Amino acid sequence: MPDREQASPASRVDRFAEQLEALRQEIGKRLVGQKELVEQVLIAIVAGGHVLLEGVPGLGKTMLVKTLSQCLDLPFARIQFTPDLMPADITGTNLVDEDERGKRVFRFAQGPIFASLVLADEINRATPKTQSALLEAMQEKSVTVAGIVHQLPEPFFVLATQNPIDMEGTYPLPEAQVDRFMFKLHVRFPEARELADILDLTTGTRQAELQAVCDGPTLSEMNKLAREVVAAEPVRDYAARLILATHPELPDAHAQVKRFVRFGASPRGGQTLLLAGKVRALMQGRFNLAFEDVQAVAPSALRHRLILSFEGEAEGIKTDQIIADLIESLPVAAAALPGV
Amino acid sequence: MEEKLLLEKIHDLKKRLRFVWIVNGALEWCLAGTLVTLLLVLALKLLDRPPAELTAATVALLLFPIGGAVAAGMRKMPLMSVALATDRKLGLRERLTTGLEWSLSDRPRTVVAQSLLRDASQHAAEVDPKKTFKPTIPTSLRKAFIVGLATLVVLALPAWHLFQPGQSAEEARIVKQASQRLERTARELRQRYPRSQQAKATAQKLEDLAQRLKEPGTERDEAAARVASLSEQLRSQARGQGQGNQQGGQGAGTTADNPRNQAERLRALARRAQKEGASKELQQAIEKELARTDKQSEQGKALSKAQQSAGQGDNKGTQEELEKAAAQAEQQAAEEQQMGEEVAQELQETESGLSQEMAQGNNPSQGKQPGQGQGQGQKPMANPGQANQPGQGEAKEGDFGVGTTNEQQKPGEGQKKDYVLERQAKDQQQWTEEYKRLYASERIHRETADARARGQLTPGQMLPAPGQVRGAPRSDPGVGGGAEEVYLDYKREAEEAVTRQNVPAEYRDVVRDYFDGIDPREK
Repeated sequence: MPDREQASPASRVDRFAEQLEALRQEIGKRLVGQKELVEQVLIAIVAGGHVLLEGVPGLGKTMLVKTLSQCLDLPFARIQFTPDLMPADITGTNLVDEDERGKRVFRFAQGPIFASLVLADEINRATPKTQSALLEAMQEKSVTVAGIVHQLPEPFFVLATQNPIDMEGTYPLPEAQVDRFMFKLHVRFPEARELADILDLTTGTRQAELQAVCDGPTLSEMNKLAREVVAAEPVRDYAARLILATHPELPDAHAQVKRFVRFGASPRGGQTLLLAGKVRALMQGRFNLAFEDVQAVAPSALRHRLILSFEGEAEGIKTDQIIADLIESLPVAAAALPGV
Repeated sequence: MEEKLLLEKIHDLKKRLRFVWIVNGALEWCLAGTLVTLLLVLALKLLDRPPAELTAATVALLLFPIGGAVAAGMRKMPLMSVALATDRKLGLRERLTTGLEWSLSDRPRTVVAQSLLRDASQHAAEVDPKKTFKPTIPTSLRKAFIVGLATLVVLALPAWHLFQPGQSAEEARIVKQASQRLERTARELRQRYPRSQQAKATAQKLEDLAQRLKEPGTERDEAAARVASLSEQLRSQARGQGQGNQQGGQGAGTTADNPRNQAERLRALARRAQKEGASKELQQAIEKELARTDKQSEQGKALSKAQQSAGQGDNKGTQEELEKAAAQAEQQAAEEQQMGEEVAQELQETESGLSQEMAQGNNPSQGKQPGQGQGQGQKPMANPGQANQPGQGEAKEGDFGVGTTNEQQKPGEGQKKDYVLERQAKDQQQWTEEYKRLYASERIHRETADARARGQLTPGQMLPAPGQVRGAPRSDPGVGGGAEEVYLDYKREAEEAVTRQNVPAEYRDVVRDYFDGIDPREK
């Protein structure tokens, strides 16, 4: 894409915004409402992160991911996680085969993970062993089978779904796995008008035709542009302080954090705040990261990275509530000028 | 180019912000200055310092704002902080901050960075420093005004007597004390001589004077002069001389004349009755005297009898009754003279209390405890039965309340003040009896029951009495059952609890394992 890189920054930013708007439009043809959810998913995709979608059945989680795959023109694979699913079913395995000379050799048969966009449906229904098969893929974007490392295609995204109720026969994701998701997004129940539109759209004969408006290289270009967005020291400092404020063992921790949180967010959480915030800044036509960008992505980036204590869980405390209180109480500038 | 423009603008903003800081700093320190000034003025006023010092104290009102301005001017103000403050103030989403940081750093000027600088400088160009940073009236300044105003109002109240020139709080207290003493003397005068018109008139004068002393701004010297004037007036009146005599007659009204004059007239009438007999002129003169006299008094009754005797032609009876009435009038004159002298003496003491230096003995709050007067040769006035022997140190429990001075009494003066002493003795007797009832040594040694002095119950919740302690263990026999009996109940309760939503799933097994582990049936 030489012409893209030589274009002026302003035009690149304009094209960035146009691409995202086009994606929003296409997704909107199939998915009614859920604008915030779509925007957060797009931020994660542009930032190159994985997304964990959580919501009760029937809210369109799988529909969103399938729609996204069609709009992005990327190789798509869906893995339905079940208790008997094995790691090899995801990563692929070595099969005995014969070569041209009739000699038996091992040939690696790629699993469904070798796609750019992987839908891990109901991920918490698989056993921890199978869930762990995703660890290397999500972080290193590679798969190791029989000592041989197989690189996954670029870009590579995992969009997983899970059901927060009906916990019988499920295996909660381990913290290491959860931490690899850039965002954890709650899929809310649609409003009355949105529900009426959904009913109208899904019970008739009309089926919206989707077009691929973005491809892999474009996504990579957008990711590169987002990483060039500048973050000033006070904003970086704010993101760091926000992460540290989630740690109950630190002396300056918020009272609620000390009481209800067992473990705070990891450094990945801080990386997510900056990277996702930069994408958001670009989406708004800015070349710099602002405090409000960090605050806007903080709930999605941190809600799954805070591990509640026994007391927090027993009292039904939500991590969103703790994050909101932290944002409210933490001053954006560590040493603000007085009298301004 | 963009970088230069951005830097210039941020320097302009810094200058403006510095100015605003200085102004705000001065205004903010006004609160402290006002409070310090008020405290200083109050302290100096209470110490009775001259007005010049009070004026000098107000310099603090100027020094504090200057100090605040200097402190604000010397405070550090990094450019980055100025840029950040501008961003926050104008909602520029940290454009200026990021642009400034990038322009001050040695990082490579990528295309995105250049775009950022251009964007930042464009936004900076639209910033007007004067509109961005304006001096504001801080909340503390408003508080300073409110506090200052309230304090001034309180200090200006007449009760404080603080802003009245030449009069300290101590002087005001002494004058007020003298006023109360005059009022009490008037009250006792009315009680002691309920039928005496002279006493009523004197009491009225005392009350009038007390009221005048109560007026704000009455100085001690002025009060002393007024008291001395009235004292002299009453003394003259008591001696039946000069103007005081006439005033006493006028004050008594039409039904009473000066008793001494009346006694002389009645003696003259008695002599006429002896010489001329009960003539018509004599009868008219008696009737005239009767009109001037209270008919219910002994003198009035004697005059009525004299009139009847004169009407019957009983010369001797008329003469005797007139002599009797004259004796009554003389007795009344003597009493009134004595009363006048007593009141004059009381006034003289009041005046000397006002004229004296503020001695320690004049201050009841600094006064001695009962019993300290013994053997000091300075006997307090209130020692019943000892009033005729003042200054001999026999008083065991002195009265240092209002109306008492530390002056040494002269011999014989106590006799004239028996009504004052009566009152003081009565009060003191009550105190002594109460004290002895509670704290007498023989009682304390012999009795062990608690006693409580008279007091007043305050509103509030009753405290729990002993035996009603909260949290005391129940003596329910059902609690002490065997572990086997209660185990199943407890386990069932625990099962129900863990199935509830508020127990995290990962802890449910822990609870179950615990109850399995303590199952007494397995043992």
